[in-house]
Amino acid sequence: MLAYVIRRILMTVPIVLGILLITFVLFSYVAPDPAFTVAGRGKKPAQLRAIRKEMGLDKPVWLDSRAKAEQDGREYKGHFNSQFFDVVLWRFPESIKYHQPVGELIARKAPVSLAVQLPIFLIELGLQLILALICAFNRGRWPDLVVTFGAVLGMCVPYLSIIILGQSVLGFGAGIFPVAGWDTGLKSVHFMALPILVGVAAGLGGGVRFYRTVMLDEVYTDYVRTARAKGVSRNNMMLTHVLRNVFIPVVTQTVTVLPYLLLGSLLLERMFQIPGLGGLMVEALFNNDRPILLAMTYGISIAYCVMLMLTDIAYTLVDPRVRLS
Amino acid sequence: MSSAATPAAVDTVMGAVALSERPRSLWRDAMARLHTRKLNYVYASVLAIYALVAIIAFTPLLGKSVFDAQVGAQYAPPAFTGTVEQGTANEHSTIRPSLWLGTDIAGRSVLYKLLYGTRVALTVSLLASILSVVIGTVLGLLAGYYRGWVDALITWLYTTINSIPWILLMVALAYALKDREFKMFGQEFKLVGIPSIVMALGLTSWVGLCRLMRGEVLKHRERDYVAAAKAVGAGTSRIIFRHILPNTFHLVIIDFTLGIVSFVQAEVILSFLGLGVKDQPSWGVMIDDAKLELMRNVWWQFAGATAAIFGLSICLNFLGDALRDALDPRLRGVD
Amino acid sequence: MRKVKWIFFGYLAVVGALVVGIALSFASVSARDPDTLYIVYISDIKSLDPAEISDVPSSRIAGNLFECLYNYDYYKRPYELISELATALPEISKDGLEYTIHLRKGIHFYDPDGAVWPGKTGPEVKAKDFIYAWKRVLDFHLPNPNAAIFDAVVGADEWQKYTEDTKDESKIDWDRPIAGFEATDDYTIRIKLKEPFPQLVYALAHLPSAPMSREAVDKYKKKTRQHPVGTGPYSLSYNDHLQQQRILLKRNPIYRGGPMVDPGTPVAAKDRLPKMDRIQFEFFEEDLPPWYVFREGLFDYHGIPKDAYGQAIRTGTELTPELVKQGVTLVKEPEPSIYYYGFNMQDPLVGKNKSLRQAMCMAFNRDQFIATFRNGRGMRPVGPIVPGFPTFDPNLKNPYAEFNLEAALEKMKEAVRVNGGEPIPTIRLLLPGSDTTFRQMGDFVQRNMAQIGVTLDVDYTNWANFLEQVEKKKTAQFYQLGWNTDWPDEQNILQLFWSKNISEGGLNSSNYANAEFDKLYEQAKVMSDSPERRELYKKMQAIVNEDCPWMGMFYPMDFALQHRWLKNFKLVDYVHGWMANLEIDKELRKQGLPRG
Repeated sequence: MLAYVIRRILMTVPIVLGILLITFVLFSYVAPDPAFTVAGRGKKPAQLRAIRKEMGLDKPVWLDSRAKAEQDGREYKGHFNSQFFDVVLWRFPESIKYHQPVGELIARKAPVSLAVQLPIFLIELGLQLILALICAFNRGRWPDLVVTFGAVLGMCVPYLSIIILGQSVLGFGAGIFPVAGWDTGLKSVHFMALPILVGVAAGLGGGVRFYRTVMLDEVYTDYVRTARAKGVSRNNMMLTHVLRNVFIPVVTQTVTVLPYLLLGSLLLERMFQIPGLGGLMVEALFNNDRPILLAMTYGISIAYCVMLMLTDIAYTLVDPRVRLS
Repeated sequence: MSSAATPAAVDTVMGAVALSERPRSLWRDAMARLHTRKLNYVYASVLAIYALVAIIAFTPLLGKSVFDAQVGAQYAPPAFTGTVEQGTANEHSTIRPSLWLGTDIAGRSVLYKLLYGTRVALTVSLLASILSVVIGTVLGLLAGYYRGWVDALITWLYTTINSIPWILLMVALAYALKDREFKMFGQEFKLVGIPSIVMALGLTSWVGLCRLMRGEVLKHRERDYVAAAKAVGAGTSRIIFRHILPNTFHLVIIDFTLGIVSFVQAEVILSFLGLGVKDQPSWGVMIDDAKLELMRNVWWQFAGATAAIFGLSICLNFLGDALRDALDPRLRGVD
Repeated sequence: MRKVKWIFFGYLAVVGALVVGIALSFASVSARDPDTLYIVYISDIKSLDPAEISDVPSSRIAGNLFECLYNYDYYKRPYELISELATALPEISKDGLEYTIHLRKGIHFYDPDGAVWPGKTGPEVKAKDFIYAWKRVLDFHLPNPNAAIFDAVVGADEWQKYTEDTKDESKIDWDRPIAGFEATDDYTIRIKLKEPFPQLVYALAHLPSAPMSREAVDKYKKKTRQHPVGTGPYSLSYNDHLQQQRILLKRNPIYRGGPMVDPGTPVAAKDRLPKMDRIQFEFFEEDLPPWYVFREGLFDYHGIPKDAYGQAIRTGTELTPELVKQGVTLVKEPEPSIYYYGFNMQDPLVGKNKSLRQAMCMAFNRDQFIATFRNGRGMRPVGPIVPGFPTFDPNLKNPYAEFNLEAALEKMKEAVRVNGGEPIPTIRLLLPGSDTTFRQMGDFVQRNMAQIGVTLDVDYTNWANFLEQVEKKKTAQFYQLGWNTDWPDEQNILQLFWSKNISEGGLNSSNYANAEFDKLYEQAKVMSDSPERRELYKKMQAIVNEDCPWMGMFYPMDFALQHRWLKNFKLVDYVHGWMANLEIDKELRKQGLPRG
């Protein structure tokens, strides 16, 4: 068992390295000179050079050594190998745009994203399972058709359109919800209602279809047939055997989605002016705010890897057969 | 379980696919299943209309001179008829299709822009889908067939890409590739923003198919027909592409169909972030424009583009579903 | 079975609690606080350190937190200088080289976070604080664009050189004197100039010249930009500034009651500034949501402000009958700014072909452009000198500022001749944004130019990329920019055409160089306001108009909508700290929007 766990942990190492490599290439090579973002207009060339130097942009892109840096009389930071160690040790420089520690920014914004995304996820998941169950119960009959049809309809409206509609009709038109905005602490709660509603409405369809397929797969397995043949009632059948076995895909889905909840939804956060990580990320991307981009990409990717790893290990604990495959 | 296949059904919707070497019965069977639901014909014909419009948009009939022309006042609301030859003696009212969906900020016809947008939407999503399907299929086949370090490398690649939030990767790539010029075959490619979007979407979306293919190929390479092919001395590439690929091709088709839907939607997100196409109308750009127009209660552009996306997605989705039901052996016992 | 049930009920309980919680929160929503003013802001604040502020959004906030020696009267037009921290306008020597300024006594710094001085109230503002702040403006290490305001001061260059040579910022000796800045006593400053710089008095009303406490800067170091310690009517605590979310300004409790007031002088309660206890700025990135929020009466006014870099022009709305019914009024004010499409004069195509530039300028239908994108809120520009300036002449004849297709086509023939008889190749227009408005504007220009056979390839990019191409690489051919004047003197605009300002990141981003212009500019630069100087300014403008390094777009008309309960609201430029005048009729606001 321990050997498996260790092997599983070792397996994540190359993946983390891969994430590092891809993001480095994306954000370091192709982005514009961030010195201008910092400087604004009317700069002297010497000042620009100084800013670039301060940001570590004057150095070789790929490899550098501390000794060489000292020899050249410059600070040692900012390129791939040194950045690599910084990231491994979870050290990020200050945000270029906000001049604040990246950790502080993320710590303030992550709970906000989560406060909207977690309820969306919870409500959505429950509704999806219930609707999928209804479909599976009535496979091929009208409730199934109606729900499936509705689910597809929901999936086909562009997300942006749903947001704009919700905002103009339910928010501004009917005046039921605040249009957009955020406050601090618990005073923000009433701002969450509309984004949650819109988020649930937009995300419901895909999940219903997914879980319906998973459940139907389960319904036609041999053990269910056997149980049915032995006279277990249909309802009982669905609620105990099927639902229990559907649990594994549901949990896998849940666990892998959790880190993404932190990221929030770009569109939702921008249109409802929710000060979460989604907006931060877009701003960081357009301002080439590398420290933020790196911290967020690594943070979320690694959280994802860890979550995946934990589920794998948990499954092994529950069901030793899994280890074989 | 399955109804008897009628020969006529074979060359309908998916006729082209039937050319592959897959045992005929399964494809026939699939066709028959598609045939039994008449609604599938409706979806297919709507798709055909979209495709036709897109093709027409490549001709001067719906070219720049048409969608770019000023047909009315700024933000004229939808109307069935309009006045022509204004200010002349011959001024009269007549049916004007250009005004059916109103006009935009420059007095251009929203309907024409919408129709032209079909071309952009289909080009982007088809190309992106092809790109992602090709990458996913080839890598999946290679990983599944060769196993060993090839498999390890490919698995590592897709697990890594899968670990980075898709939206972040896709937006970052779109941003990075935006307006780059590519030199290929001695020619310069800069299809006004479309190639970069296609690359951003295609290069980040192949993971799902690759993983599926790999799993499927792992199973197939142990099958008798592969062993038989080997026995008669078929080369590796022949086995992979002539034998295994046709047997797993249904996965590709399903992924391809549903991929188009998600790419049409992704184009809206990219447009919202200012990374969409330029110089030509697209549905995403139109919805994005509509954000400001809604301040003055100009809703037609918003409604038109939303409806266009809705129509296309819904047909593709239902057809994709039907294809999946018809083709995916895993679900064969379900009906 | 039991387990399933348990999970199901647990889930129901969680979701139920969630829904009930959110529903309950609606009951407890408090209306807008009666003592707070609510305003939207659409661009993030880059810095609150006066020395490095150069963008409008930052100075809009910081203007409430800091004061300068001088300011402009909020109500009077044309703008009139008032003495804020100084007791009177400077005494200027005959040769225009020596300025003497006396300070008001008894004004103290205020540190809202109490980290520098435990009681929050700091020491009295003295002459050394001004000199320290000005040295900072000239510090090479600060990424600040404002050093040019002291270019004419004796010893400024030496000090800049010294800071540049001192590689380690922390080793700079702040006690090292600058010959031109002298504190003759605690309350008197003497400034010496190398050459006359008549705009100096405006510079001393410019936010970057605000006094800074050395103790506070030493304490906060690089974080000075988030910890404003000033003397203004409001203060901003670190925890009240949530980036991309909101900024909450609170009344500065030790403020003296008005800019022209001496501390200790009693002020009648109704005249006391600031009028409101708090100002809350709420951040919005998109245009649609804050518009809805304003329409619901939750923002007191809704300007469509000049964007961070004077780049964005947003389509808004005219005042509809519906708005009029709700008691909303439109406030207008011409802005002393200009927006233009600049030609890169170093570009081998557009830079060397004057006829082409002139033809393009005549093919651009500005009136239609202004009608389409500004709802008419703008004026067709007749030259770089903007409205509100002494030499501005709205009736100036400038053939290249007028839409004239025939003349443009005629000029194009010449342009083709200059081009060696070859047709004009595609020209790349670079726009610093890619949102809807930019796209539509790009479309517009493209179609205008197509009429004279000039093909434009419009490139949309972000601000960072844009600056890199325009100011660093100088590869942009044709681009859109704007200029917001810093003070009401023509020199502030004409410096953009001075060839000495061509450099990487320099102000002359169109790389315009004209010997005759340079001669006139250098002559006018040292003159104080006189009919002769105005003549020179007019001549310079005529040269620029003939050469067409810019294709003017419009002089913007600033506009804002206000609700009926807001009082004393005026749109201003140059003035800092004006928000202290804003007042809410609490009774009216409580009533809300008129129904029906």
